[in-house]
Amino acid sequence: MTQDNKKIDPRELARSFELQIKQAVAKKFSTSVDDLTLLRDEDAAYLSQEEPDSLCCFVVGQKSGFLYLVIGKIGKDGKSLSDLKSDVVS
Amino acid sequence: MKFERPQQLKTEGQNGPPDENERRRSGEDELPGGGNTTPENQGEEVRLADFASQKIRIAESEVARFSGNGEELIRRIEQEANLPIGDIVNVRGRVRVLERLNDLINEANGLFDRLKGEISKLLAKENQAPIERMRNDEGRRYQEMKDYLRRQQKEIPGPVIEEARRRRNQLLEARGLFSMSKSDFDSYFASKDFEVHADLKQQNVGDCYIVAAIHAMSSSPHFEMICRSSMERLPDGSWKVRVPFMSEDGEIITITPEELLPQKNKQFLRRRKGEGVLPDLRMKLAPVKGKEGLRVLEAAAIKRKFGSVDRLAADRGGFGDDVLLSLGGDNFIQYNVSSAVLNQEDKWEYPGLSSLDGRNMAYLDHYLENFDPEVHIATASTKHGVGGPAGFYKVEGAAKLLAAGHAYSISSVDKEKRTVKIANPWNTSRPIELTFDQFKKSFSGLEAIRIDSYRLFRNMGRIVEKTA
Repeated sequence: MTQDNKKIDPRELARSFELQIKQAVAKKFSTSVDDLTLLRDEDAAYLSQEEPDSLCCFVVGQKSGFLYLVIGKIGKDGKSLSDLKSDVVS
Repeated sequence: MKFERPQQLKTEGQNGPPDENERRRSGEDELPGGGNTTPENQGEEVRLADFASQKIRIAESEVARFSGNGEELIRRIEQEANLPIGDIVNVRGRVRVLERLNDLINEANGLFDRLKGEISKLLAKENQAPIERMRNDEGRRYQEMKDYLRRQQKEIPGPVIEEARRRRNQLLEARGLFSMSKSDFDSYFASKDFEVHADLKQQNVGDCYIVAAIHAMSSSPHFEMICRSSMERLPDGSWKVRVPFMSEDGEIITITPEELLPQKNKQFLRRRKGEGVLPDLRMKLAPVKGKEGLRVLEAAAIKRKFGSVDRLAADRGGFGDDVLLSLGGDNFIQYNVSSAVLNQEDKWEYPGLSSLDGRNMAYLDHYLENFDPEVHIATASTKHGVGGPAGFYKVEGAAKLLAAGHAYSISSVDKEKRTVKIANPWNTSRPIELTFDQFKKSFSGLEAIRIDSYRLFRNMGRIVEKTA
């Protein structure tokens, strides 16, 4: 990781980009942002061990019931998020 | 689109020959794409239209007959009156009898036209509802298909998804949504550390179709989630299994430690109908050899089908896809094809999957070429009545033997190499690799399911959502 991991709180970061995270899911899966919920559990937002400098978080579709994973690149400042991608996890 | 599943003998390992009287029902799988109008209500519409047309035709012919008869009757009366033609014309002109008759006929025909129009409108109105439903249904299916394809367009690399699944499991565990802990799953299911594939050895019960189904299911990346959300080991050593898996209103099947033990064989030293001269020499019927959780799955599948863990009943044979369907319910969609054909002497023949007609071959090729462990779980059955007394036959072009009338699990498919990796339930730790051609020539049927990921994921999502 290039960022200082100690300074990054994944849940806090996910919460501050909640709208963009939901929009990434809504755009790919043609759903409404209002239908999506960002999970706030301790394990629901984390720094990926597989993909460096990346935040992963879970979003649930209220109507579809899908659990989506959203991954985004964390900026060098540790406070920005870009290149958001999403897929269904289950 | 429908694919016929011919009737054929069940696979039963080497212990339970197929019972001719219990030949499998002829199942047909409805693949996505059908309309919403059922044959019944289509018949209703056809009958209503036919009925109305028929009645109108009858009325029209009655009027035609009446008009023809009427004219004829008038002319006959005129002839019988024996009057000069001038008088007749005069009377005709004054009475206008023929014109009135024609008016009557015209009025009747006008009424028929109106009646036809009204009936057409009514029928159109009646038919509108199913057409609308069908359009809506097609729209929904199209949308579902589009959504499915979108879900398949993975943007995130596999290892990241795997990592997410582990995180999801931790999350569900933290919320108390898994009835089984990770450590219990590892202890009671995984054969080696971090290896989910079940290590199984079918014993002396002819339930190869159950063991093959369990082994095939263990190859799915969803296996851990399915087991941990649907099974629970209680402190007294008994198990609760909720079937269909992951369904909130599923039936709870309890398996006691005693039910996992070998059973006394009630058929010991007795002969079974059509089984030859030798009596059943099995004093006890043993469960599959493998981790406890896998033995529980075998027992649960038997109990689900026969009402109790009756290994002798399970010995009669069956099909892997039926086992998967009974455990997975609506989360799984049946997907099978068979080469079994009934010959002129009313006996079943098993020429092998390579003999399938074009449509069924396309169906099989589609399954193999698109095999995705994420969504496909498959077993396959070998040919019956081949291999002589030993019951083994050689795979063409390979130094491999297959047991006749036996179910195998499909562990994986290599689409690029065009090979299928199968495992014999007698010992699943020794996979056999066959080319597509060898597989088609050697196997008689494919008994598989496709995970309805929409439903499965939605079920899982609902569980998450409830506490979101």
